[in-house]
Amino acid sequence: MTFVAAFPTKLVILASKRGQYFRQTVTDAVKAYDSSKTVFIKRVSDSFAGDFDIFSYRGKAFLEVVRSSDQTVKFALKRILELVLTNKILRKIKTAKFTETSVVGDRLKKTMYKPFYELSYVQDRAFRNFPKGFAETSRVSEVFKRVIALKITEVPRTYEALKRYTYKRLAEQNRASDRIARLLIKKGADLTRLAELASKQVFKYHIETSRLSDSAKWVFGKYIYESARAVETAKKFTLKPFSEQTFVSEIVRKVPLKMFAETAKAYEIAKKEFIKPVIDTVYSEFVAAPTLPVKCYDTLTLSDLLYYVRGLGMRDSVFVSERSTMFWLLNFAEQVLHYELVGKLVTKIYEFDSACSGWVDRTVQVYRIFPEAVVVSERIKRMLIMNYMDLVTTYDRIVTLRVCTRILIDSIASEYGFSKNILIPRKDAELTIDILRKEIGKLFKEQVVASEFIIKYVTKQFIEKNVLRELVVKYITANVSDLAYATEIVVKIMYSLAGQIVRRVYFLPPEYHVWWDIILASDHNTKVQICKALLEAFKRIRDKLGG
Amino acid sequence: MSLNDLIAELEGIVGRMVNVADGDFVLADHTNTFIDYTKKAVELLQEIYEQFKQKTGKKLPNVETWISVAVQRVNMMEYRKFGDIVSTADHNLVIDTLKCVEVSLIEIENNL
Repeated sequence: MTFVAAFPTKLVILASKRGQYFRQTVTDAVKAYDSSKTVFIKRVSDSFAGDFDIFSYRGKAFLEVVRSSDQTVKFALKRILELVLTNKILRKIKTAKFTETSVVGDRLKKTMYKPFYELSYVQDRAFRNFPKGFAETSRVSEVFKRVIALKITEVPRTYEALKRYTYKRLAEQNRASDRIARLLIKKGADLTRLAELASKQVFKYHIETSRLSDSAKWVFGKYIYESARAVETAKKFTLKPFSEQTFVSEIVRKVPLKMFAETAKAYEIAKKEFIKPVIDTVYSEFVAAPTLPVKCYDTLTLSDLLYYVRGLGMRDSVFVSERSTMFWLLNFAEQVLHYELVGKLVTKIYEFDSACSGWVDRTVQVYRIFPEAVVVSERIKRMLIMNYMDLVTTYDRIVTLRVCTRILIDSIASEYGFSKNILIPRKDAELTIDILRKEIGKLFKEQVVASEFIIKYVTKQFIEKNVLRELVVKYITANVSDLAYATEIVVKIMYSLAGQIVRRVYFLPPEYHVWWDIILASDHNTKVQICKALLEAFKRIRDKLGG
Repeated sequence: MSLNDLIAELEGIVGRMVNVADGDFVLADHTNTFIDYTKKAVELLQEIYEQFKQKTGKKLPNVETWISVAVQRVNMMEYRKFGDIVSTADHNLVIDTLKCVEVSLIEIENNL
């Protein structure tokens, strides 16, 4: 004899040993869900009030789901706000860097102009004073010689300074690479820990589910029937949003990779387009020996070009960042919608379960797993955002290095351009240019190597992370599906009444019509027998009462 | 009404009950007869419990609870007429109520 529904007959059985055990089992289950024995007792007593009590119970569950959804929405909105704030901060940082770059460029321009004006002033004074006499001319020559000597001594000094600057940048770059690598390794470790945690959680729920299932089997015995349609529906409802999430994660994976690919491509273009004009300009100044105004114009053009390209790069960075942020916002909105959908579907499943299985609160497990799934997903999402932020930071650093390199090129070109004006020997100039070319080439090579390392590492990290995420999603999906399988059982009840076995009959929603019951002739005849037996019992007690 | 009167009425209702076979029509009277019986049985149970209290001076909390539940369930029953659909609740309410009656009678009898 088995009792599993919210009907008065259960109370009879609750007085027996098996009934007490069952009540204890259900009490424990409800405690785990609600941590309130009072609620459980109320629920049991309410169940006697009839089917209409299920509506209030259903309403409570619905409120819980709504609360859960509200929490999810609030969290998503909070994350969106954070993302928007982050985007603003990123934009400010980029703008600030651009401003700083302009300031440095202006300062370089002024530095560049200063020797030019000094030289012009000296030249003008020399030409004005030339007719005054040969002696004065000789003196002017002396002045020229001194200026040349000064400039010649300045060139190696400037070159040393530039070299030091280059080395400093390279060292900073290496430090940045190391830091990024450390961060990435840390992220990898965190992700592994997360995956382990998620796996543990999943296994924990799996064990709990199995335990619940075993307990249910023990209690319900041979009267447990499984609803294949219910399981299929639950699986479909659960798998659909998760598969959509996986699809979104695929797209998310592609966007940063594309961004890095574009960065690498931009490097290649920068390497080809920037070194060549710099060296060509320096060479042309030495070889063609154009006039000062032309050189000045060329220098300014080169400088403007550099600033223009630099600004364009900045704008591209901001655009890419903006686009990524928008994508994330869209993703968040979709995820919120998915959670809403899942919440509604769980409510629907719960309603069905309540209607067909009475007060047995097996769907509690669904509510436990659903918030856990949301929490795990939120954690994963947070990790994704953190990694995304790291990516943006890395990209920003790469852009900064690129800008610094261009400033370096600009300043070197300016310095060497004016070195030619003061008649530096061609041999020395060629030697210096060779060194310059090697240094710039080395710098670019280091940058490319570093960036490739970062790209490879980040790509690997992204792939691993997404693989882990998909693994976690699969685990959760499988677990939820299993849980749905365990909980979505249509329990049909039979018990004895006046020595006769009677069964309750069930009318389920249309989609589960295969499990509908028909009131048979035997059900009717059994009731007739029961009525007769009870009549005899009434008579017997009347006699005992002396009536 | 005395116990004898109530039991006599109950006997009359049982006398109206008929067995059916597969293929027979499900009549509204089938359902209504069981509703009549159940209502009368609950009424009789309440009367028996009153007499039990008077005779023994005991109170049985479980019986009071079951009687309360049985009354609630009886109030949910609805008579059917020709053309109405006989729902699962019509069957389930009867047996669930009669189970309360049965266990109440067992406890009363054990305490007599």
